[in-house]
Amino acid sequence: MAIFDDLEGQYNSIDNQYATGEFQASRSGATRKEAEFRKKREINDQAYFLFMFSRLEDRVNQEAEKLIKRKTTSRASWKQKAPWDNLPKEVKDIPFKNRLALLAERGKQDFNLISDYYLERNSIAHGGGFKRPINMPDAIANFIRLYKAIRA
Amino acid sequence: MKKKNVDKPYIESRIDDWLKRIDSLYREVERSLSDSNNVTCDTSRKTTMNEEQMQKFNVSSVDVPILDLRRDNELLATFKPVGLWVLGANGRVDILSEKGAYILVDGSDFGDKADWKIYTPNNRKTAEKLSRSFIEQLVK
Repeated sequence: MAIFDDLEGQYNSIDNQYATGEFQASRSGATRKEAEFRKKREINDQAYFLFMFSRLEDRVNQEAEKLIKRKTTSRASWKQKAPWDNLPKEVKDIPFKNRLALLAERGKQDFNLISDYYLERNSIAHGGGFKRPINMPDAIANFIRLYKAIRA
Repeated sequence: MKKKNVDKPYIESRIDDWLKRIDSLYREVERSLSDSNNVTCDTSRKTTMNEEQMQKFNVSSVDVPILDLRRDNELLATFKPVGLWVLGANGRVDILSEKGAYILVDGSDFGDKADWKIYTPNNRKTAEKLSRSFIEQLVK
């Protein structure tokens, strides 16, 4: 998927450069430099994770907005439309997990996975690091899959 | 993943299991390289494991061995444990080399036999099963 492919390519290229740097530092016994490269790799993971999550978040917003619009402008009875009419006018005013719950079933695999990623996203966005180590190749594959799966 | 009450003994059992899986992994590497000339396996370096789950349940940090592969004292590759409670795997070990990072992840559930799979620097799309031939290639 094009919007992830460029990011994935750049991420892998930078990660391998830093990993080689970490390895060369280790080979020459430069422990401080080795730790610096290790840190750079961590920050690179965080940066690209955030980039990719923000694309998924955009997808959730767009699809949630589409769904709400469809429901509120449908010819359904007022009783069926009322819960949708009562949602905040701006989709971003709906808490993220509630927005997500319009598109993915709460408690199921996709909802849980995106919620786990959202926790990581919040931790990074607020100045922390990953709360749990991450398997980036798996995360990238999941972002691509989830982007397609999230539909109004 | 099997359901289990998460408490301090459980966290300790997970760490114990992780250390055993790493030890088995390193033994497998050593066995695979037994015919490779002048390659030595050195586990004297350590990395500190102090993950969020450990802090949450007041479990002390643990030293985890790093595996350095050397030929005639020149470093060829390093196996560095990254973490146990990994999103999307039951542990991650990075293999650093001149070519970049190989990402090794265990796809097993806790209590099951380790199922190591590897993403190479040139192929991060699909993981291949860790094999003797892969380990031999690493030091060529």
